[in-house]
Amino acid sequence: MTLPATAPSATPARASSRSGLGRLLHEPSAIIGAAIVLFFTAIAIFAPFIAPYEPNTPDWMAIRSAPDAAHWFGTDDLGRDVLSRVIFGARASLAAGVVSVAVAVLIGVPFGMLAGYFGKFTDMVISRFADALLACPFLVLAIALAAFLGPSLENAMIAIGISAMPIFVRVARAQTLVVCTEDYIAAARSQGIGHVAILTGQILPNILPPIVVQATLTMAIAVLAEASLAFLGLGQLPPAPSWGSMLDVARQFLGEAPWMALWPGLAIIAVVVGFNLLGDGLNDALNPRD
Amino acid sequence: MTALLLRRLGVALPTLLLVSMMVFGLQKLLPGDPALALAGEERSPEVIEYLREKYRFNDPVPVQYAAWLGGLLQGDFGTSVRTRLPIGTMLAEKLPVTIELAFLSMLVALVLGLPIGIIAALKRGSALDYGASLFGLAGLSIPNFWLGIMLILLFSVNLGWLPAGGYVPPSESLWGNLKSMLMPAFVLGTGTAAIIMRHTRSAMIQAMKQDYVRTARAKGVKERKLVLRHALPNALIPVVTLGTLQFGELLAGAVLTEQVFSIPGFGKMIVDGVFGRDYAVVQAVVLCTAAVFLLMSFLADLAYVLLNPRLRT
Repeated sequence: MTLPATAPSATPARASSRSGLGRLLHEPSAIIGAAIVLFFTAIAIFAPFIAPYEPNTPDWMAIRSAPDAAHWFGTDDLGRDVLSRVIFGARASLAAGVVSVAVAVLIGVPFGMLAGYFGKFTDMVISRFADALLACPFLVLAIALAAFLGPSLENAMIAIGISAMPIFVRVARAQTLVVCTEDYIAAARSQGIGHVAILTGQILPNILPPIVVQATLTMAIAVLAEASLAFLGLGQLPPAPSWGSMLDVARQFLGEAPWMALWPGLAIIAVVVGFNLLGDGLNDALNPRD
Repeated sequence: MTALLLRRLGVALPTLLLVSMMVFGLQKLLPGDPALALAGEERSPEVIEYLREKYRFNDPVPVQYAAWLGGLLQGDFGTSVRTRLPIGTMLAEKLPVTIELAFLSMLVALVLGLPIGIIAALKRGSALDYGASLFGLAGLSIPNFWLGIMLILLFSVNLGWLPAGGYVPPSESLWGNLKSMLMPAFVLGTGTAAIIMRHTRSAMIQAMKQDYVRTARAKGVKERKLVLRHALPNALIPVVTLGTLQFGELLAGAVLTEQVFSIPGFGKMIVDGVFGRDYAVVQAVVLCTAAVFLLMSFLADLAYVLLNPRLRT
């Protein structure tokens, strides 16, 4: 059934997203952030073609070699090329960023929408659970979940996703409360349109911009969290490369091979800066009143 | 005011109860038989049966939870599988170390964040403001464990000025304690400094636009007095609230910092618990961190009410 109430709400949403995209292209921070994120995404996708060496193959003749023409970033304690491991490590970091935020969004947003739309008891139950999850600091909860689930990249991503989920419950709930006061929602209700149709067809498109902003900023947090879990030995398991686990190994050889610690750290900073700049730029473009 | 605080307390206590349910539920995530997981290498049937009886795994889940919660309310967090010590005793020993680290980190955060935020607001759009924005971005983007490693490389490995790790209790040597905590406090404090800087900047910008500031300026009040006596006290209200909340975050951030600098605190306790398959320790640390976090949220509300005269009536 084509609903007249959908058109007026969907049209402003599309118009607003077009103007939002236009504003985004005029935000220098968003452009720089997007360029950094795209650069690392390309590196992660084309890693086998870009990396000069196989990332997991030891070279016993080149243990802890300083950076030179053969190994631009030097080699690690097993003679593996640090540049190749940094390039392949982008895969774990970006996968953690995307998958864990997807987990958080796919669970958090529907619950937040239900809380905001139905209110009363539903809101109270969902909000209290979100509050309880938020009371456990993000990293502590992620460590505990990863510990109980067992150390692996997949479990780290689930742990980070669940820890980040209440942020999206809060954002989706607050935005749904605002949208629910609009006339077109009252019109849709008066026409007898079902709750599911209103939630997915009317509310969801109108609450997406702040969720996209939050998701981008949360990716920065997720990349840092994955690196932290890997640093503690709760993320990507060796010998597969991960920036966090590379730093964990590197700190044992700080005196002899400081380059082992330098490059993975700079890569983490670059990706996190990229997501933060992109998120800030998106926020300025999509929520100009903020 | 009392009604408001009672209302907040009425929200905090059920939240803590829910946290306890979730923390208890964590052990249900263990794959397979939890008694087997708890037993670790010790797989003899007697040990497994003993653990099943001790943790009431044969009872229904609500009964297990009620027994566990009853123990917590009497201060019984259980016994560490790894150290064989009561977890309550371990918490009492480790928590002061982490609280000291969090206090020193907050000091670093305030010393860096407040002045930079105020200067950035007063010199809005200048090179100083852009420098402050860069500092904010760096503070939020640099992993504190990497910053810790770099500082160890510079000040311990290369210059030899500060110890690379370890903890000296203040009762043993105050100077030694400060030396051992200087780098960890700086590492942990910079992220919070960035957050405080950003909030101070925006709060000061808002405060400087208010009518009372314009009136004071029109009356000829000097700029320095205008900032320090009129704008700053008002701008600091949200910053104090934020700082109180951030203290809870510092306890969580201490996990990585303590790991890098081998500080025997709360954070190292959870990491050791994770790798020693000491699940009761992990549960106790999560629960205590959440309790401190909720306490800090309550204190933040209290501070907000006390500092804002309009809410005091």
